[in-house]
Amino acid sequence: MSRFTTVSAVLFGAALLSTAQAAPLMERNLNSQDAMAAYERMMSSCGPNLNNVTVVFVDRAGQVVLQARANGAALHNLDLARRKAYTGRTFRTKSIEWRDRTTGTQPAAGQRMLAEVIPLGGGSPIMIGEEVIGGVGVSGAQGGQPGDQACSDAGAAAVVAAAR
Amino acid sequence: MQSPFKVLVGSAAVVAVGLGAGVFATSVSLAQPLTVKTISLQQAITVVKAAIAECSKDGSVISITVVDRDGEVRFSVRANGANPHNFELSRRKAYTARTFRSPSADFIAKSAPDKDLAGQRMLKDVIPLGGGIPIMIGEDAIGAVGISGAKGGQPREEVCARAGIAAIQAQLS
Repeated sequence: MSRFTTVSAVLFGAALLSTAQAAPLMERNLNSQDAMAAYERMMSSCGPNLNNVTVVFVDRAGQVVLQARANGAALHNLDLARRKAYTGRTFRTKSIEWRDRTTGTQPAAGQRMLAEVIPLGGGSPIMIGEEVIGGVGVSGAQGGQPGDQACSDAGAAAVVAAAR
Repeated sequence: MQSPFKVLVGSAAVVAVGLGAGVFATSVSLAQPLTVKTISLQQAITVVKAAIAECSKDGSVISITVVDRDGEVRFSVRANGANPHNFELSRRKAYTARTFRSPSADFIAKSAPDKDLAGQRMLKDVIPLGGGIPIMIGEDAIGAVGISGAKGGQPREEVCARAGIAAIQAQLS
Protein backbone atom coordinates (compact mmCIF):
# COMPACT_ATOMS: atom_id res chain seq x y z
CA MET A 1 0.00 0.00 0.00
CA SER A 2 2.64 2.48 1.06
CA ARG A 3 4.81 1.41 -1.86
CA PHE A 4 1.92 1.99 -4.23
CA THR A 5 1.40 5.43 -2.71
CA THR A 6 5.06 6.27 -3.16
CA VAL A 7 5.06 5.17 -6.78
CA SER A 8 1.89 7.16 -7.41
CA ALA A 9 3.36 10.22 -5.80
CA VAL A 10 6.49 9.98 -7.90
CA LEU A 11 4.49 9.54 -11.10
CA PHE A 12 2.18 12.38 -10.16
CA GLY A 13 5.12 14.61 -9.37
CA ALA A 14 6.80 13.76 -12.65
CA ALA A 15 3.61 14.62 -14.52
CA LEU A 16 3.39 17.97 -12.79
CA LEU A 17 7.02 18.79 -13.46
CA SER A 18 6.72 17.98 -17.13
CA THR A 19 4.14 20.71 -17.68
CA ALA A 20 4.54 24.42 -16.94
CA GLN A 21 4.74 24.21 -13.16
CA ALA A 22 4.55 27.38 -11.06
CA ALA A 23 2.53 29.23 -13.72
CA PRO A 24 -0.79 30.68 -12.46
CA LEU A 25 -3.98 29.63 -14.16
CA MET A 26 -5.17 32.28 -16.59
CA GLU A 27 -8.93 32.77 -16.84
CA ARG A 28 -11.00 35.16 -18.87
CA ASN A 29 -13.66 36.98 -16.90
CA LEU A 30 -16.47 39.47 -17.28
CA ASN A 31 -15.21 43.04 -17.62
CA SER A 32 -17.33 45.49 -15.59
CA GLN A 33 -17.14 48.07 -18.35
CA ASP A 34 -18.55 45.54 -20.81
CA ALA A 35 -21.29 44.77 -18.29
CA MET A 36 -22.11 48.48 -18.04
CA ALA A 37 -22.21 48.86 -21.81
CA ALA A 38 -24.31 45.72 -22.20
CA TYR A 39 -26.74 46.87 -19.53
CA GLU A 40 -27.38 50.07 -21.43
CA ARG A 41 -27.91 48.17 -24.67
CA MET A 42 -30.56 45.84 -23.24
CA MET A 43 -33.33 48.40 -23.37
CA SER A 44 -35.06 47.35 -26.60
CA SER A 45 -35.34 43.66 -25.60
CA CYS A 46 -36.59 44.29 -22.07
CA GLY A 47 -39.74 46.36 -22.51
CA PRO A 48 -40.35 50.04 -22.94
CA ASN A 49 -38.41 51.15 -19.88
CA LEU A 50 -35.29 49.50 -18.47
CA ASN A 51 -35.88 51.45 -15.25
CA ASN A 52 -38.69 48.99 -14.56
CA VAL A 53 -36.49 45.91 -14.92
CA THR A 54 -34.13 44.49 -12.30
CA VAL A 55 -30.85 43.21 -13.74
CA VAL A 56 -27.77 41.49 -12.26
CA PHE A 57 -24.52 40.53 -13.99
CA VAL A 58 -22.29 37.95 -12.29
CA ASP A 59 -18.72 37.11 -13.22
CA ARG A 60 -17.05 33.79 -13.87
CA ALA A 61 -16.94 33.10 -10.13
CA GLY A 62 -20.64 33.88 -9.70
CA GLN A 63 -19.90 37.16 -7.93
CA VAL A 64 -22.03 40.22 -8.64
CA VAL A 65 -20.37 42.65 -11.04
CA LEU A 66 -23.31 44.97 -11.72
CA GLN A 67 -26.75 45.22 -10.19
CA ALA A 68 -29.63 47.52 -11.07
CA ARG A 69 -32.81 47.43 -9.00
CA ALA A 70 -35.91 48.66 -10.80
CA ASN A 71 -37.90 51.64 -9.65
CA GLY A 72 -40.74 50.09 -7.69
CA ALA A 73 -39.14 46.63 -7.65
CA ALA A 74 -40.73 43.96 -5.48
CA LEU A 75 -38.70 42.94 -2.44
CA HIS A 76 -37.53 39.69 -3.99
CA ASN A 77 -36.54 40.98 -7.44
CA LEU A 78 -32.89 41.81 -6.86
CA ASP A 79 -31.96 38.52 -5.23
CA LEU A 80 -34.02 36.66 -7.81
CA ALA A 81 -32.18 38.33 -10.69
CA ARG A 82 -28.88 37.42 -9.03
CA ARG A 83 -29.88 33.79 -8.64
CA LYS A 84 -31.00 33.59 -12.25
CA ALA A 85 -27.62 34.98 -13.34
CA TYR A 86 -25.86 32.48 -11.07
CA THR A 87 -27.91 29.61 -12.48
CA GLY A 88 -27.11 30.62 -16.06
CA ARG A 89 -23.43 30.88 -15.17
CA THR A 90 -22.98 27.66 -13.24
CA PHE A 91 -24.91 25.40 -15.61
CA ARG A 92 -23.74 27.29 -18.69
CA THR A 93 -27.26 27.20 -20.03
CA LYS A 94 -30.34 29.38 -20.13
CA SER A 95 -32.11 29.12 -16.78
CA ILE A 96 -35.42 28.47 -18.55
CA GLU A 97 -33.88 25.38 -20.17
CA TRP A 98 -32.37 24.25 -16.86
CA ARG A 99 -35.83 24.68 -15.30
CA ASP A 100 -37.31 22.28 -17.86
CA ARG A 101 -34.64 19.62 -17.48
CA THR A 102 -34.83 19.50 -13.66
CA THR A 103 -38.56 18.97 -13.26
CA GLY A 104 -40.34 16.22 -11.33
CA THR A 105 -38.78 12.78 -11.70
CA GLN A 106 -36.05 13.64 -14.20
CA PRO A 107 -32.57 12.42 -13.24
CA ALA A 108 -31.31 15.99 -12.81
CA ALA A 109 -34.19 17.07 -10.55
CA GLY A 110 -31.88 16.91 -7.53
CA GLN A 111 -29.87 19.84 -8.89
CA ARG A 112 -32.66 22.07 -7.64
CA MET A 113 -31.47 21.38 -4.09
CA LEU A 114 -28.21 23.27 -4.68
CA ALA A 115 -27.86 26.65 -3.00
CA GLU A 116 -28.44 29.83 -5.03
CA VAL A 117 -29.83 28.20 -8.18
CA ILE A 118 -33.39 28.94 -9.28
CA PRO A 119 -35.54 27.05 -11.82
CA LEU A 120 -37.07 30.12 -13.48
CA GLY A 121 -36.53 31.76 -16.85
CA GLY A 122 -34.51 34.98 -17.03
CA GLY A 123 -30.91 33.80 -16.59
CA SER A 124 -28.33 33.52 -19.36
CA PRO A 125 -24.71 32.44 -19.48
CA ILE A 126 -22.18 34.81 -21.03
CA MET A 127 -20.20 32.64 -23.41
CA ILE A 128 -17.06 33.41 -25.39
CA GLY A 129 -17.15 30.41 -27.69
CA GLU A 130 -17.30 27.40 -25.37
CA GLU A 131 -15.98 29.33 -22.39
CA VAL A 132 -18.34 30.83 -19.82
CA ILE A 133 -17.19 34.14 -18.34
CA GLY A 134 -20.31 35.13 -16.40
CA GLY A 135 -24.08 35.31 -16.37
CA VAL A 136 -26.96 37.77 -16.66
CA GLY A 137 -30.19 37.59 -14.67
CA VAL A 138 -33.40 39.56 -15.19
CA SER A 139 -36.53 39.93 -13.09
CA GLY A 140 -39.56 42.08 -13.82
CA ALA A 141 -39.43 42.40 -17.62
CA GLN A 142 -42.66 42.31 -19.59
CA GLY A 143 -43.98 38.90 -20.61
CA GLY A 144 -43.16 36.81 -17.55
CA GLN A 145 -40.37 34.23 -17.70
CA PRO A 146 -40.11 34.18 -21.53
CA GLY A 147 -39.84 37.97 -21.42
CA ASP A 148 -37.20 37.84 -18.70
CA GLN A 149 -35.31 35.21 -20.69
CA ALA A 150 -35.36 37.26 -23.91
CA CYS A 151 -34.07 40.23 -21.94
CA SER A 152 -31.23 38.32 -20.26
CA ASP A 153 -30.30 36.68 -23.58
CA ALA A 154 -29.99 40.15 -25.07
CA GLY A 155 -27.78 41.19 -22.17
CA ALA A 156 -25.45 38.23 -22.66
CA ALA A 157 -25.26 38.88 -26.41
CA ALA A 158 -24.50 42.53 -25.73
CA VAL A 159 -21.55 41.59 -23.51
CA VAL A 160 -20.12 39.38 -26.24
CA ALA A 161 -20.59 42.20 -28.74
CA ALA A 162 -18.97 44.71 -26.37
CA ALA A 163 -16.05 42.38 -25.66
CA ARG A 164 -15.01 42.32 -29.32
CA MET B 1 -55.26 60.52 48.42
CA GLN B 2 -55.92 58.93 45.07
CA SER B 3 -54.30 55.65 44.35
CA PRO B 4 -51.52 55.81 41.78
CA PHE B 5 -53.54 53.43 39.65
CA LYS B 6 -56.49 55.80 39.42
CA VAL B 7 -54.24 58.71 38.56
CA LEU B 8 -52.60 56.65 35.85
CA VAL B 9 -55.94 55.58 34.36
CA GLY B 10 -57.19 59.14 34.47
CA SER B 11 -54.09 60.44 32.71
CA ALA B 12 -54.28 57.74 30.10
CA ALA B 13 -57.88 58.67 29.36
CA VAL B 14 -56.97 62.33 28.93
CA VAL B 15 -54.05 61.43 26.67
CA ALA B 16 -56.25 59.12 24.61
CA VAL B 17 -58.91 61.77 24.16
CA GLY B 18 -56.29 64.34 23.27
CA LEU B 19 -54.62 62.00 20.81
CA GLY B 20 -57.94 61.12 19.21
CA ALA B 21 -58.88 64.76 18.85
CA GLY B 22 -55.47 65.47 17.34
CA VAL B 23 -55.69 62.68 14.80
CA PHE B 24 -59.22 63.51 13.73
CA ALA B 25 -58.60 67.24 13.74
CA THR B 26 -55.84 66.92 11.13
CA SER B 27 -58.35 65.88 8.50
CA VAL B 28 -55.97 66.66 5.64
CA SER B 29 -53.60 63.75 6.26
CA LEU B 30 -56.21 61.35 7.53
CA ALA B 31 -56.00 57.95 5.79
CA GLN B 32 -53.35 59.19 3.37
CA PRO B 33 -50.35 56.94 2.66
CA LEU B 34 -46.96 58.35 3.52
CA THR B 35 -45.22 59.79 0.48
CA VAL B 36 -41.43 60.08 0.46
CA LYS B 37 -38.74 60.73 -2.12
CA THR B 38 -36.10 58.15 -2.99
CA ILE B 39 -33.40 58.06 -5.63
CA SER B 40 -34.52 56.60 -8.96
CA LEU B 41 -32.58 54.01 -10.95
CA GLN B 42 -31.90 56.51 -13.73
CA GLN B 43 -30.52 59.04 -11.24
CA ALA B 44 -28.37 56.33 -9.63
CA ILE B 45 -26.87 55.38 -13.00
CA THR B 46 -26.08 59.02 -13.70
CA VAL B 47 -24.35 59.32 -10.32
CA VAL B 48 -22.29 56.18 -10.92
CA LYS B 49 -21.15 57.24 -14.38
CA ALA B 50 -20.12 60.71 -13.23
CA ALA B 51 -18.27 59.31 -10.21
CA ILE B 52 -16.44 56.75 -12.34
CA ALA B 53 -15.51 59.51 -14.82
CA GLU B 54 -13.99 61.60 -12.01
CA CYS B 55 -12.09 58.68 -10.49
CA SER B 56 -10.82 57.61 -13.91
CA LYS B 57 -8.82 60.83 -14.19
CA ASP B 58 -5.96 59.31 -12.18
CA GLY B 59 -6.53 55.83 -13.55
CA SER B 60 -8.48 54.58 -10.54
CA VAL B 61 -10.84 51.67 -11.13
CA ILE B 62 -13.47 51.84 -8.40
CA SER B 63 -16.22 49.74 -6.94
CA ILE B 64 -19.30 51.88 -6.37
CA THR B 65 -22.76 51.47 -4.86
CA VAL B 66 -25.76 53.78 -4.77
CA VAL B 67 -28.31 52.94 -2.09
CA ASP B 68 -31.81 54.38 -1.92
CA ARG B 69 -33.68 55.98 0.95
CA ASP B 70 -34.18 52.58 2.57
CA GLY B 71 -30.47 51.81 2.40
CA GLU B 72 -31.10 49.17 -0.26
CA VAL B 73 -28.88 48.90 -3.34
CA ARG B 74 -30.31 50.75 -6.32
CA PHE B 75 -27.29 50.41 -8.64
CA SER B 76 -23.76 49.14 -8.17
CA VAL B 77 -20.70 48.10 -10.13
CA ARG B 78 -17.72 45.99 -9.02
CA ALA B 79 -14.36 47.19 -10.32
CA ASN B 80 -12.30 45.04 -12.63
CA GLY B 81 -9.68 43.37 -10.47
CA ALA B 82 -11.28 44.52 -7.22
CA ASN B 83 -10.09 42.98 -3.98
CA PRO B 84 -12.68 40.68 -2.44
CA HIS B 85 -13.79 43.26 0.13
CA ASN B 86 -14.10 46.32 -2.11
CA PHE B 87 -17.57 45.84 -3.53
CA GLU B 88 -19.23 45.17 -0.19
CA LEU B 89 -17.26 48.01 1.36
CA SER B 90 -18.67 50.47 -1.17
CA ARG B 91 -22.16 49.41 -0.13
CA ARG B 92 -21.44 49.78 3.58
CA LYS B 93 -19.99 53.26 3.07
CA ALA B 94 -23.13 54.26 1.20
CA TYR B 95 -25.33 52.72 3.87
CA THR B 96 -23.43 54.55 6.62
CA ALA B 97 -23.78 57.89 4.85
CA ARG B 98 -27.47 57.29 4.27
CA THR B 99 -28.40 56.17 7.75
CA PHE B 100 -26.50 58.95 9.57
CA ARG B 101 -27.28 61.49 6.82
CA SER B 102 -23.70 62.67 6.76
CA PRO B 103 -20.45 61.68 5.03
CA SER B 104 -19.21 58.32 6.29
CA ALA B 105 -15.92 60.06 7.15
CA ASP B 106 -17.80 62.00 9.86
CA PHE B 107 -18.67 58.70 11.50
CA ILE B 108 -14.97 57.98 12.11
CA ALA B 109 -14.50 60.73 14.69
CA LYS B 110 -18.06 60.65 16.05
CA SER B 111 -17.83 56.98 16.93
CA ALA B 112 -14.17 56.90 17.99
CA PRO B 113 -13.43 54.46 20.83
CA ASP B 114 -13.30 57.23 23.48
CA LYS B 115 -16.63 58.78 22.46
CA ASP B 116 -20.08 58.22 23.93
CA LEU B 117 -21.27 57.13 20.48
CA ALA B 118 -18.62 54.43 20.11
CA GLY B 119 -21.38 51.85 20.48
CA GLN B 120 -22.81 52.86 17.11
CA ARG B 121 -19.96 50.93 15.51
CA MET B 122 -21.70 47.77 16.67
CA LEU B 123 -24.62 48.43 14.34
CA LYS B 124 -24.92 46.15 11.35
CA ASP B 125 -23.59 47.33 7.98
CA VAL B 126 -22.09 50.64 9.13
CA ILE B 127 -18.39 51.33 8.58
CA PRO B 128 -16.18 54.12 9.99
CA LEU B 129 -14.34 54.89 6.76
CA GLY B 130 -14.54 57.79 4.33
CA GLY B 131 -15.92 57.44 0.82
CA GLY B 132 -19.67 57.52 1.44
CA ILE B 133 -21.71 60.68 0.78
CA PRO B 134 -25.45 61.11 1.39
CA ILE B 135 -27.71 62.36 -1.39
CA MET B 136 -29.75 65.10 0.25
CA ILE B 137 -32.77 67.19 -0.57
CA GLY B 138 -32.55 69.78 2.17
CA GLU B 139 -32.54 67.79 5.41
CA ASP B 140 -33.96 64.71 3.72
CA ALA B 141 -31.63 61.85 2.70
CA ILE B 142 -33.03 60.16 -0.42
CA GLY B 143 -30.03 57.88 -0.86
CA ALA B 144 -26.24 57.77 -0.76
CA VAL B 145 -23.21 56.78 -2.80
CA GLY B 146 -20.22 54.80 -1.56
CA ILE B 147 -16.88 54.18 -3.27
CA SER B 148 -13.97 51.83 -2.61
CA GLY B 149 -10.69 51.30 -4.39
CA ALA B 150 -9.61 54.79 -5.51
CA LYS B 151 -5.87 55.37 -5.74
CA GLY B 152 -6.03 58.45 -3.50
CA GLY B 153 -7.85 56.54 -0.76
CA GLN B 154 -10.76 57.89 1.26
CA PRO B 155 -10.33 61.63 0.46
CA ARG B 156 -10.24 60.91 -3.25
CA GLU B 157 -13.24 58.57 -2.97
CA GLU B 158 -15.20 61.42 -1.38
CA VAL B 159 -14.28 63.75 -4.25
CA CYS B 160 -15.51 61.17 -6.79
CA ALA B 161 -18.71 60.56 -4.82
CA ARG B 162 -19.46 64.28 -4.68
CA ALA B 163 -18.77 64.58 -8.42
CA GLY B 164 -21.31 61.82 -8.97
CA ILE B 165 -23.98 63.58 -6.92
CA ALA B 166 -23.22 66.89 -8.65
CA ALA B 167 -24.41 65.32 -11.89
CA ILE B 168 -27.97 65.11 -10.52
CA GLN B 169 -27.84 68.17 -8.25
CA ALA B 170 -30.31 70.08 -10.44
CA GLN B 171 -32.86 67.29 -9.87
CA LEU B 172 -32.53 67.36 -6.08
CA SER B 173 -35.45 69.49 -5.07
